[in-house]
Amino acid sequence: MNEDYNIEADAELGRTTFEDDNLLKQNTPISKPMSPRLHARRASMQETTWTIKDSFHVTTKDVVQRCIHTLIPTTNFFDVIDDRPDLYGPFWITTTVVQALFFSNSITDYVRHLTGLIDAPYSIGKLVSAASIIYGYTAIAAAILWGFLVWNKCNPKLLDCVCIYGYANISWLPVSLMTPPFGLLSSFVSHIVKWILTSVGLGISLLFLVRNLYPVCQQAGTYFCKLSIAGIIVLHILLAITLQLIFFK
Amino acid sequence: MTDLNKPNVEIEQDETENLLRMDPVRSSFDVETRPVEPDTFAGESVVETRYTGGDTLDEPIRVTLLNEFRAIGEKLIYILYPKNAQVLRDWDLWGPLIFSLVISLCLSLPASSSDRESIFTVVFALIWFGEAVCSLNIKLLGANISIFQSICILGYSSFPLVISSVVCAFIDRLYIRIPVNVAMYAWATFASLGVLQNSNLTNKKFLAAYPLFLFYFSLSWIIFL
Repeated sequence: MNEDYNIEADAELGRTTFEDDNLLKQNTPISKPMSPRLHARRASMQETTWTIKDSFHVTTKDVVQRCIHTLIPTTNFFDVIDDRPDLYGPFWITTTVVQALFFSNSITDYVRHLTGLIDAPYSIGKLVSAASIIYGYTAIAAAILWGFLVWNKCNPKLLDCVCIYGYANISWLPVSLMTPPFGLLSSFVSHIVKWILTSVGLGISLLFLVRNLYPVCQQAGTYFCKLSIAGIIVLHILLAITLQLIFFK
Repeated sequence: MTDLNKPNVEIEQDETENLLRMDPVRSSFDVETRPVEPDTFAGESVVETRYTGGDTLDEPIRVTLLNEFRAIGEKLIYILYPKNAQVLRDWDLWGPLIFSLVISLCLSLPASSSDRESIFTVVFALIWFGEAVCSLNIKLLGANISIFQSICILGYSSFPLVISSVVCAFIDRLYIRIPVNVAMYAWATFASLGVLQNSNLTNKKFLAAYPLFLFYFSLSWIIFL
């Protein structure tokens, strides 16, 4: 068969169907260009390149466990993660906090509008500012921490930093859900209670962050360690004050 | 010659199909609707995802529109009464587009004139980005469903929110708005859980369903306000 093909090569040009032309197909693979990933897989099946999908290999129990260990920071968070940092938790906790901030702010505004205190029932700009503040803070603070540690040759993983800051956001969730009743009372005591609530949230997340990042920053040397811990605390306090002034007023 | 060469052709097709399935870039295509091999050498390959008849460019516009409306109507009936899951396999994005436009319009009309444009933009962007992110989340958690199919299902499941937004745009009484909103939110969420039906998520059902709850809650909350 093969030698027939070679002898009659010129006669093949008149054909209109190429169904049986497997030899032609093997020589000219026009049909499917091979992506570099396919090349890599064919070359060595043992190497694995990291894809985003790898950071979603968590089950429901894992995520719930991580959230609980964030709110009650007794054990080291990196042990809880067990070298499997995930992106599901940080992203969806951050999104939930954004929604909760908008929800608490708009429900107080709506009730005030019903009782005649304010003109507009709600302001959609609060949702946009909530999203930009929380997403921006989580991303930028995690990036600054990672950059700082890389500069001090600590070899951190960016995913770990994002994970820590993302899970730390969960403390704002109960704060924003408990604020509306006090926001509606508008007496001096309720102002104090709102500030206390915000500072409790700040305290929980700060405790979690410092407790887990202190061993990591210690590798950078004592001076930079103190500098980085101070930086984390200051940034977090700024975030708490911003949230209080914009959303919990 | 043909009998001896046929098995080689079939083996090569299986191997490339397996490789395509492993490739994360292309694994979101539906496996059974990719083009058959012999066409690709002769000319361009025709990717047919929905209509099994050839191309629909020659038919009159009236027929195309009727077909589209019939497809939208079938999916709406599925949302009302989920009986035939095959309907959702041909995805189209006309329904979600119409629903998102109606929701954004009904939410922006009652507002004051300074807020109107920003409300429309924010709600429209929230709907589409929210659906995309939820679908991406379901895909990343490991479900074998294509992204456009899940966007289609999520979009069609927001039809109850269309009803509630139209109602809330015209009626101001709290004792009508609250029950309508709650009922439509529950209906939309349960309808959208159908996207998780055939996926192989073992321990992650709640992880995949929670974003849907959040997304429809944020939409219903803005509709209520």
